[in-house]
Amino acid sequence: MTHDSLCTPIDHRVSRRELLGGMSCLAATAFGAGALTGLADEAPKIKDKQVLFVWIDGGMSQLESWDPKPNTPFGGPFRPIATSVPGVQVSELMPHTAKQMQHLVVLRNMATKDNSHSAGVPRIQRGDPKNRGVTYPFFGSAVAKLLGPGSSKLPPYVWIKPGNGGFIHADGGFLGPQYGALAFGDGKPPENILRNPTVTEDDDAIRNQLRETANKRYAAGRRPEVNEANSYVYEMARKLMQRQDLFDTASFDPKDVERYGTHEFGRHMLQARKMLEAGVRFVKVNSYGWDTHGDNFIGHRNLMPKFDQGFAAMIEDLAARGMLDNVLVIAMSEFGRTPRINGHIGRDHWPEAWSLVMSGCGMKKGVVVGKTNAKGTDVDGEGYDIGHLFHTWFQALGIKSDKIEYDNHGQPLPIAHDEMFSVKEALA
Amino acid sequence: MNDDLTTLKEQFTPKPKPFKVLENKREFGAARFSPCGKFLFAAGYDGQVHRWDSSGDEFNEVAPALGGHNGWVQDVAFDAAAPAVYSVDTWGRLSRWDYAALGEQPLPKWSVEAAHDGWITSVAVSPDGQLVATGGLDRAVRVWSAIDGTKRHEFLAQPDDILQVAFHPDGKSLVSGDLKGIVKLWDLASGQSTRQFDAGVLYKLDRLQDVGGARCLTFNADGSLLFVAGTKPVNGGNVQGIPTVLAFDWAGGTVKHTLELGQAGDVYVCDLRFHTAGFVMAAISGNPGTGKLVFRRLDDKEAFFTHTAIANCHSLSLHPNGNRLAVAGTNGGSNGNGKVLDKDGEYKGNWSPITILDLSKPTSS
Repeated sequence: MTHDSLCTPIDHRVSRRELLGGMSCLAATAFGAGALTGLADEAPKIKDKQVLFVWIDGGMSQLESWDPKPNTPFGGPFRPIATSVPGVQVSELMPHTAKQMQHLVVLRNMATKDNSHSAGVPRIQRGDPKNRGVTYPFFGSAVAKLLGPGSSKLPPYVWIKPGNGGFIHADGGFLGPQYGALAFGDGKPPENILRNPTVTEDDDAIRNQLRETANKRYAAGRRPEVNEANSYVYEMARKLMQRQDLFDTASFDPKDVERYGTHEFGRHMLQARKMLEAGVRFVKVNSYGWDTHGDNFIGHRNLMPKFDQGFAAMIEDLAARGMLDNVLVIAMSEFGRTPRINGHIGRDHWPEAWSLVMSGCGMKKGVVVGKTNAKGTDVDGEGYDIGHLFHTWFQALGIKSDKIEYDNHGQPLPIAHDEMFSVKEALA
Repeated sequence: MNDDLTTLKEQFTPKPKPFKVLENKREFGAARFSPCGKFLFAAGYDGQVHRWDSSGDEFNEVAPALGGHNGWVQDVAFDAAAPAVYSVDTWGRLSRWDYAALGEQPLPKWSVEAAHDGWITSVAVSPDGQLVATGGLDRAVRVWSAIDGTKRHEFLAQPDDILQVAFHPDGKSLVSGDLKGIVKLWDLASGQSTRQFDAGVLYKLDRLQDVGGARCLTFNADGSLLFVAGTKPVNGGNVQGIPTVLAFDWAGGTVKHTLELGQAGDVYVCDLRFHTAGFVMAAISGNPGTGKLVFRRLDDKEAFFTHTAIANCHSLSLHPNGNRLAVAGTNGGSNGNGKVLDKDGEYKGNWSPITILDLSKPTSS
């Protein structure tokens, strides 16, 4: 019995045999017969799409970044600056990014629902679909499922994060644990990933045969998803063994290291670029510590330049390499920050009217979408929820979000909120 | 305890009582009495300097406010002898106002539009009133002629954001404190940095964020002690830390006293003065609603006065007659996620009530 979670296209699940033996035909595996209705012509393009998802955990202030309101009651202390797009201003805290504005879409009318981290982070990253009694996958897991690992065969959903790494299976939601995130704590590879030099290749092959036998015994009588996930992670780790260069930060060009920044975020962004260049389908980079309820302004004065440095260097490099044609870049938080300034000179959580930025694959260039009112206290006109953005991102990646459905053991489920639609002003 | 301190305690151990609250609809970074005592000036987040008549007990606001600034007016500082006040803003402007004769359309005597590239965090006037010092997030310390605003000195040797500047009482030198808690001493004659004081305990790198720094710099009257205050940071983001004062021996450069004035949620000593009767007065602000005003002698283990009725104390200023203390705080209920509306359905901002406290009249020695 199979547990195909998509109605169309067919499963992109990666088997051990496919990985170790080499895929003789990616299209036959990833886009099987009978599953391509309406998508066959797009398949070659789809397989090259990639995503860089920059997650600013805690809530970047829109007023200190993408939507400055100088000299207004809640505008804060900072100046606006001009960008490379005439008429578009951002906070003075982003001088490098301002020079890359011609590649960006800034969306200033996000209006979402959750004003807590615990609800906001997963709901935003899962696209906040209608409640159908299942846990939806994070965006990275969805892309891993819908597009697969691509020709690189590398793990399709990797997460470069501060702190510890590991396999974050919960991101997969109902798609199953194998679509979780392979997280590299501080960008470091999983421990003991390399074959011990005292073990010969022949011995290693024998050892793997033994492991496979043990796996089969273990799998008998268990849900297939469990074994699939175990095998998947193991095989992905084996693939990574061949790409140690992705983790060898000492080999990175010192000029790049300087441009991206020697701080944590800069290092991780540079490593993310290496991952994208290697063909990883979905790379998430995140930064913690943005929940500036206190000392928001000195805090953003300190945090924003580090984001600015790494983000701008990434956009500049992706553009220079022609990669923005295929890489969709998204930078966002779970919400923005309140216009009003509290007694701790901080800003609190604000889902009502905030901003995010996108670039690259399928997106317009040098565009601002939506606006807030003069004081920044509300969206001026209609706002967009995260469901709209999921549609937008899927469309940008060539995935028809209004037609494709997940198949959750026979339960058809839309891949994005079925009452929402893509942000057409943002799409190329 | 030595005899001098005993005498000082006997002379003056105030227990201030609330006298009046100046309600308004604006947020202020600082509120300060003029040296003549006739005015209270407040630096507004609305880009203006506001005034109250403090010559009597009424504290009527004086219109119009002083404009021309952008962003926030961060602070004001006074010439001790002449009726001149200097205001600085977060877009880099420094202005001098001769407040004895401002009229109905007040104009600055002079302004330097780009005294700094962006946020000026601090302004100080030399004891003789001839020089004005500014420090900013452009990491520069600059000294200006009080007469016409021409630049006299520029000190660029500190690699981090400058948060505070202060003149030594002898007028010969200047100190500047930065985000990492390093305080440099600048000799005004040579233009060189001759020493530094390490208040690095007031700093922490938390993930990406440099937290804390030298948020207050002040001296005792004879300049034998340099006080550096801020927080001992616990974490960034929603910054938490222990409000802390370090008293450095000016001659030796060592820390003679360390005063921890609260818990982690109390966070910053936002303003600090050393009273001539031998105690520090600290305005403390941390988590919304938790501010306090603390008076503590250096050799004591506990504060002799703690006032918690003012939420988020951001500045303090002692009236020259010694009987009044102005404390700028923040209204209660200032925080909260999401959209908070007032009774008219308008988005609700916050404001800075200025509390005037009444101190027992000091006994003249």
